[in-house]
Amino acid sequence: MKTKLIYIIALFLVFPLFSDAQSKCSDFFRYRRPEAPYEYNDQSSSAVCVTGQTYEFILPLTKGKDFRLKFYAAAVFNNKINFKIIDESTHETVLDLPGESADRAEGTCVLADYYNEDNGKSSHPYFDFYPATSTTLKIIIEVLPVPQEQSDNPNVKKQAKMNRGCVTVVVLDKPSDNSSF
Amino acid sequence: MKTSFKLITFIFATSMLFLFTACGEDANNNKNEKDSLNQDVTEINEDNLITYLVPSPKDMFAFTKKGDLKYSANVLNAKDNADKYIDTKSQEIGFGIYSADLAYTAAFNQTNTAGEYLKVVESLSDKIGLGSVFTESLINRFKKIENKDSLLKVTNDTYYDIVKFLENNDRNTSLSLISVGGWVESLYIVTNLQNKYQKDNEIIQLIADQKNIFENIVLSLQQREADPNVADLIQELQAVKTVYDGLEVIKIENPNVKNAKANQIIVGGSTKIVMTETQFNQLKKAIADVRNKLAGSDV
Repeated sequence: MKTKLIYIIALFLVFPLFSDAQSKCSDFFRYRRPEAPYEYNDQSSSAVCVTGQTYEFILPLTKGKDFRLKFYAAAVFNNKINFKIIDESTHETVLDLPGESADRAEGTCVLADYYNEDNGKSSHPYFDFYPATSTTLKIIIEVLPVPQEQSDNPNVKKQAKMNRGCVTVVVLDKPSDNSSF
Repeated sequence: MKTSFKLITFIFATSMLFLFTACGEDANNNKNEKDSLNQDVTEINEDNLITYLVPSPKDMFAFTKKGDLKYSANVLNAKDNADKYIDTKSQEIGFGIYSADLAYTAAFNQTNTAGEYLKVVESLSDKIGLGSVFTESLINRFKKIENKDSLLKVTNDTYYDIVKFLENNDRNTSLSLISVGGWVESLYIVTNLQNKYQKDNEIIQLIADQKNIFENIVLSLQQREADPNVADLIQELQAVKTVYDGLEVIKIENPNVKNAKANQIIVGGSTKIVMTETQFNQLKKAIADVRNKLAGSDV
């Protein structure tokens, strides 16, 4: 009986250690929702990312719709993520911003909320894309490495510290004002 | 002492079991993580770092429902074809096909037919382990549908729940097969409703523009090519690929763009995908062939 009890306690001790791994990106589904007049687009996606890696999302956009993109990242990354978007049809970089900027002003960063003067509320950054013809966007997400601790002892081999968490790309759309469909 | 040893073994075994079951298809990510921890190894699995996104069937019908296309029940996959799907591959692709049929009937406000196709989708969902998505609450919502918008909302919400379930359970290959089934059926429906080629027609341009989406589909499948079901599917899509690869992308000038404000970005506009009448007819045949094979009409 005592042994059984120990096993049960052990189970409770072990499982919370991996609760983050278990939840993965499910917590981020709350961000994947429509925001009138924009509808939710099923190309929205989440990925479990690791610091020091660069990830790409290849997103085709169809003419006739206006698209809104929003990004969210796990707190473990501390907004230390760079975002770049390349229009594949022109090969031009159409967005190149950090996750967070010093002044947190509108249009200066991708992840940190800013004060919206229009409604007097805190708003999450968004970016609107208008495809003049159908095209594809390459979204490049660079999750910056964690600064490494320095050791004075040259015999101590430094081990890279890594963080792991979810990054979510939310895609919304609405019929284009110019669309004749 | 013996109990302590057993306990440590138990904790270790439980931890390992939990780690492996929790990580699922992220195993390669873990590998990358381990590699990065070892400073001498920089091996990265490139495939894992790129996600190719594919729109759901409703996107295609969102355009067509406002155009000149007329609804036709003839293009729907026969409901009894669902009984022919024995293996997981055909069931998952079939699920995508019927999901597209459901989105199509919903977009054209065919409530009764949509209800019939929802039953087929629900039946297939049980076979591929998605039964929990179709809750009593969802079925009741469907029964209470009063207008076109609510019909669309329920079908869209259902698709969203399915994607959420598959993502949460690391069933990315299933998601790929369902996406392909949905895309093939959507394009089959639109190419049949459009039927004839017309130059400078917006539906023809929409079909041509699927080149970008099809490229994403193929690249996404190639990431999972080690799975024999996926490798087979890539082969089955070869004729469609040949047509799309042959479409010319031309440079254009003076695109009709509006003045952008802050946070508003104009993209595209410098190139256009062009499809000729011959290519349209070739694509129509290729997509019908692959659709009929996948849907079971040729079985």
